[in-house]
Amino acid sequence: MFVEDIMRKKLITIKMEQTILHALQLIKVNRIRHLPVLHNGELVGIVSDRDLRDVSPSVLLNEHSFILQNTSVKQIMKHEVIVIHPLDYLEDAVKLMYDHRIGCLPVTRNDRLVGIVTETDLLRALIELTGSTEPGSTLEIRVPERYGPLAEITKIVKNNKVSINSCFIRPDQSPQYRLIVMRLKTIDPANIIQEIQQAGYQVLRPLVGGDIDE
Amino acid sequence: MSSNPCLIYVPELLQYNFGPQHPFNPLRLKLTIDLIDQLGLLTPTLLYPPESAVDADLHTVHDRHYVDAVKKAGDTGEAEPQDTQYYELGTEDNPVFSGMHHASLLLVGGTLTGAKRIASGKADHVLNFSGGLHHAVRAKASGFCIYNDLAVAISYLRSQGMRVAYVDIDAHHGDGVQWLFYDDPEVLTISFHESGKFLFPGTGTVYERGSKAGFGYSLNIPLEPFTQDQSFKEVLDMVLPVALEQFRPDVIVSQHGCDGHEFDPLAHLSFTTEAYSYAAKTIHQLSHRLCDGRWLATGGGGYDFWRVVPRVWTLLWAEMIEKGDLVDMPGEWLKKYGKHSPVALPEMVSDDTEAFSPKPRHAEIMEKNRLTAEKAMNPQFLLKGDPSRTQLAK
Repeated sequence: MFVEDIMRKKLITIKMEQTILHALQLIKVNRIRHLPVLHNGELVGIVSDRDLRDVSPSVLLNEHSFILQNTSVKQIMKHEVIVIHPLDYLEDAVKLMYDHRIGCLPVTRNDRLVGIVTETDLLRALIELTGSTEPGSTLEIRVPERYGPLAEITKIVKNNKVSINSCFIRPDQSPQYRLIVMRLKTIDPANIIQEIQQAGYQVLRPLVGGDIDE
Repeated sequence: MSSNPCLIYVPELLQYNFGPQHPFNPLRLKLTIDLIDQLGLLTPTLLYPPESAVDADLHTVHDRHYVDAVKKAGDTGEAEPQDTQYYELGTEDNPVFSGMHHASLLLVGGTLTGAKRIASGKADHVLNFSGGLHHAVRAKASGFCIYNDLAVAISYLRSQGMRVAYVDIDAHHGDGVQWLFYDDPEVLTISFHESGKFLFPGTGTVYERGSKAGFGYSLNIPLEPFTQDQSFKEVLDMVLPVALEQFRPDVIVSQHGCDGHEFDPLAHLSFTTEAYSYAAKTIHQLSHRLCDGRWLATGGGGYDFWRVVPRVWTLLWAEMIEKGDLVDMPGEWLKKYGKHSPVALPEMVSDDTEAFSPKPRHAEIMEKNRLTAEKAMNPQFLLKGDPSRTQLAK
């Protein structure tokens, strides 16, 4: 998945000379947490709901709107913005946001803002990647960390004439192994499970007998 | 509880047959009817033949193009590649067989005939073992189900102005029926099933609650693998009476798939016959308490057709006609089928529950299921679709 596949293209932005009152209203009305700041069409900064709240006077004060109406976004925005390119990959976006502990990435092409990726978009991508929306049965298979097992397993699936809804491989707790999680478009994976076991792989789930250690 | 039950059956129903290698074997039906007969529970007055459904009945829930594709595949004996792609016809799960449209029409007609007899007051309890194909959706076959007989029957009952409570105890989520009535506040769907974390079809979380006006009118209780009888009964008691009393149905439609049994090869709920007898009894009693006994029941999944299906469904019929004292399996039945069965046939109609030991992590599983039921029954979400029904909001 490219960033351009998951990014949002309908953008809500603000100009740097506009007021923080305006910024607060934009965030509230659109139920968002980040506003890219533009100047002459170029991305020059970003403000988050937290930045805005930090500079807002207490709502308990009567005269709080003066500051909000007379401070421009330019005065409080973050200038150094971590951005990403539409042709970067989903993993790049995830890694950047995780490493820098940030909740959003503006997507730019030649310094022009073309999209935005937020935590919400990544969660949606995760749903698509794992919980495929089509009916299917899920298998968890532990395989040795070497070449070949996935090919052998998918061959078994193929020979049973069953199609695969989704498949991902992740590290096991033990470094010599990996886990293949595979969603198959069938109500009856019993044959496939048996053949995978006969090929020497451990089918962790679905369990038989009820005990993980059995 | 006075009642007027009937059993829908003719041998032609055995023609819904995907072939000898397929788990959905029509022998399940034959073995059941034979067992009921030999136990003396099948008097001719109770037996009623199904009237075949017609295309117009199917069109109440199914797409015309899909029906046409099934018809064509049944005539030629094979599916076009695009029919496999769009409609899931001709896959390993849903293979094409000759005459599949007509065999399916009769099966749908069985459940629909039951609905008509109930709506017209000619019967109160009706049972169609061949029905219960809960996975089929508007334009797709799924999980051995070509047409959704339950949805066609529910659609008919709705057209007669009835509020329908649908209860599904198959080990697999009753997804097809749920999606076909997801927006409809006049149809409450309740499914108890093994969690979709690993089991087909993968849906049926507590968060699926219906949409639009139907929000609050879908209930899901996904159970842990290895739930066993005790936890199932507890969860059933927590959910079913409360939900049905609040909903006040005019009729209950129930699907009695028995693939949650310990012996079943497809699922992992580890029930005995006791879980199914208890569910049947609970539904039976609720039908009398809430809707003058109007209760349409069907079969469903169940793939140990030697040891499990005939006994569980016989017990269901016995509950319906209030003959609750079955003990021994008839010798003649055991003799007739014992020589064909690859496994030893049980000699009692009901399982000896003591013979099934508790699974590892039993207490943990019970707790998890209890939490799931509590979450499902959270009053914040219950029956929210129609705010005018204020008596529901207590």
